[in-house]
Amino acid sequence: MAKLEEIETEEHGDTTMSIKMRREKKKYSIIIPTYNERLNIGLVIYLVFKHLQDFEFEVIIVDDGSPDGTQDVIKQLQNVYGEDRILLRARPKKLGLGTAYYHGLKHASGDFIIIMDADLSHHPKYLPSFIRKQMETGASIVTGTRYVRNGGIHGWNLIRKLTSRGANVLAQTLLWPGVSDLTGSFRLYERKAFEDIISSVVSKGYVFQMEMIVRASRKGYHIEEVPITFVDRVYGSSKLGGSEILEYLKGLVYLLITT
Amino acid sequence: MVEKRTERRGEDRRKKVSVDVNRRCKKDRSNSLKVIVVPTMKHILKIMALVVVVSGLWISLLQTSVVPHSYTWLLPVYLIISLGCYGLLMVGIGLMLFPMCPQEAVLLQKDIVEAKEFLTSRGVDAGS
Repeated sequence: MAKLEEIETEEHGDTTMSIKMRREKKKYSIIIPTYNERLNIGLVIYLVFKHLQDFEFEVIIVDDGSPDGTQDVIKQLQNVYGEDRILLRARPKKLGLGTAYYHGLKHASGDFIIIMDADLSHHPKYLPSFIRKQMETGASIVTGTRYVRNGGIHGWNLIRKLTSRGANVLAQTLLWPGVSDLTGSFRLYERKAFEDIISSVVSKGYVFQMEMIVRASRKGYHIEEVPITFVDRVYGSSKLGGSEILEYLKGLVYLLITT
Repeated sequence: MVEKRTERRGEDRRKKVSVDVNRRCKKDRSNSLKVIVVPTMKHILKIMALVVVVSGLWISLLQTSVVPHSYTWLLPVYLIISLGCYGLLMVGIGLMLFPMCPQEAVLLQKDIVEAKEFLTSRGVDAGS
């Protein structure tokens, strides 16, 4: 009997949730910067459309003039899914990550901005959990974190793990940011919050992601976290070299002084 | 239902106006008080304040000599050593409990195969 009741209330909860969703249908703009992602972008788009069927959304692809024909694949995808769902907003050459998001934002019509990578290290199956978390908590920002239960990373060697942990401990001790994953780039922002924060961010590369979240935290925005997994499929080539570490330390000092 | 909705819309509008007003006020205030008050404390200042407080405590300990001087002199060294230990410990714990997800890589491969099938059937170049 008790079990039956439980099921009933659960169902009831579901219907009120769906009514709520229908009443205030929000639109989500997913901004994906690309450079030479011909092989991955189609897969990402397919998975996004597969997992976000219940939501209203658009995908904005900011391609920095990839020479490998990424834009041709995107045009083919537009034929399949529609030009109103997939917007190609290319730029002539590689101009950096931060400005790519800003460029995408200018063409976005959604109430929420979602940013993610095109290389499949971020799986679109987590998108609904970002959206649900935002609905439940009313947070301005939901950020994906790899360092908690149910989150995780695959494809890193010991050195990569060591630098990542070291960088994280350093940042946590010095900056007290209130989020566990500073350099992750799988996030959902309320549009207004995104516009406000990005206007005061100057960093490039992945320090950009760190500056965004630290500034958001200092400005007092409500930030929530959801676990994500990160599968690194970059065969052989390590993204983390000495220059990246130096850049990270510079970014840390910069944030210490300016925030 | 309809009434509720219009009510909500009204509320939203009111909220928007109040936010605008707030913003304007903030701007005015910050313009007039910029020279006198720093609006938010920079993080480096917080850390420096902490350092000042701790060294203040240390100096007062030296002055009052509740504990023998030789011990008090060594306290900063202990502090630095314990900070270093804390850092190493946290990195070590982080490495030991590093969350891994090998099953995700397998699932992803399945998803990739599924996506490629769909895309090639629709005439998209998925680079088989």
